[in-house]
Amino acid sequence: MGKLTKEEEVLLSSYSASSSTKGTFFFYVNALILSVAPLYLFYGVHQMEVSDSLIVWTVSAVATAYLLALACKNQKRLLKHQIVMKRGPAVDREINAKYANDKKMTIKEKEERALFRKNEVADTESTYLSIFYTNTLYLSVMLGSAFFLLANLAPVFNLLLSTAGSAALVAFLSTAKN
Amino acid sequence: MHLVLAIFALLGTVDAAARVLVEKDFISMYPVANQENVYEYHLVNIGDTSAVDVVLSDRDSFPTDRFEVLKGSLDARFAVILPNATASHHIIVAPRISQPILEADVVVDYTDSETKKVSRVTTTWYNKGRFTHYLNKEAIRNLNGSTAMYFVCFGALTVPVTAMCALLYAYSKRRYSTIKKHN
Repeated sequence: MGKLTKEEEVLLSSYSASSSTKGTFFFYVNALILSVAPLYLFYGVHQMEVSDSLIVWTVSAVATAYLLALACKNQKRLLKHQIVMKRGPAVDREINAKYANDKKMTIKEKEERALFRKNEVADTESTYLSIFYTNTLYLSVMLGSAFFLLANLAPVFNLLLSTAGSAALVAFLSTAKN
Repeated sequence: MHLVLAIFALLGTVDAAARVLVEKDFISMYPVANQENVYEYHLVNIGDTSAVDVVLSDRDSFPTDRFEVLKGSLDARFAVILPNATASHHIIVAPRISQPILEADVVVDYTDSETKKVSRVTTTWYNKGRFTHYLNKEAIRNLNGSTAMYFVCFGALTVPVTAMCALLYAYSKRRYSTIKKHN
């Protein structure tokens, strides 16, 4: 088997399970916001003191951020393939329409461009959808557990279970095969 | 010089006994009626010998007609508190009604492990004439401000990120669906 060309490597990487740098950055920024925001709620509603709870808050924020980023990555992996299949024909039409008057471009080149565009669209859409899905699920579970299910628990345990626990549940659900 | 040392040695031997101090702290943020109010007791032995059979009693502070004891006991017993050691005890009480209540003494009895002398220490000097006003929940709500403000701020942090992703996805989806529909 011959060595892969640069274009082939790029194409192969776009199909791989690993997320793009931009996507990973989005995931971590989003995870950071979602892991820190509940701490403010616990400070205000459950009256946790900053100085007393700093260690617990740090543990909770780090664990939640990691688990949410992981959940987003897994979710993206699941969604990307489905989106490629759905958007494929539409992207093909867009590329064909765009380069219809370009006589110099070969069919192979057009196909390659369409393939790259499909991956680009699928990557972007799956990133957005995975963040939306993960955030919605996490926020619902976290708020439900923090203020209804575990409302009478000591704030420290409530915080850890409702934030890191919800994030762990979301991460677990994202590992589903389909 | 020898005389000075002898006096210090004498003082040392005179003070060589267990001496327990008691501290009572209110741990919750505000005293509120019909809610959990947490109290913490610290017993510190600042003496040179161990205190044994240490019994803490705070029954007078929380009469059962006015308070419900949710967790812990109003009497606590410690077998021994070593010199320079601290023992702690917690109770959670819920006042039945909102009212000012005169604080009673916390009484601690202990026995010196060497001399077997029984001593008593109280919080009289601190408590005398002190009232704790257990507020009702509405008063606390006014004091704290509404929790809705915290939820609004939380929403302001989390909703834009989530909604923006949903909008961008919807925009992209519509864009490619439109192309499909027209052709």
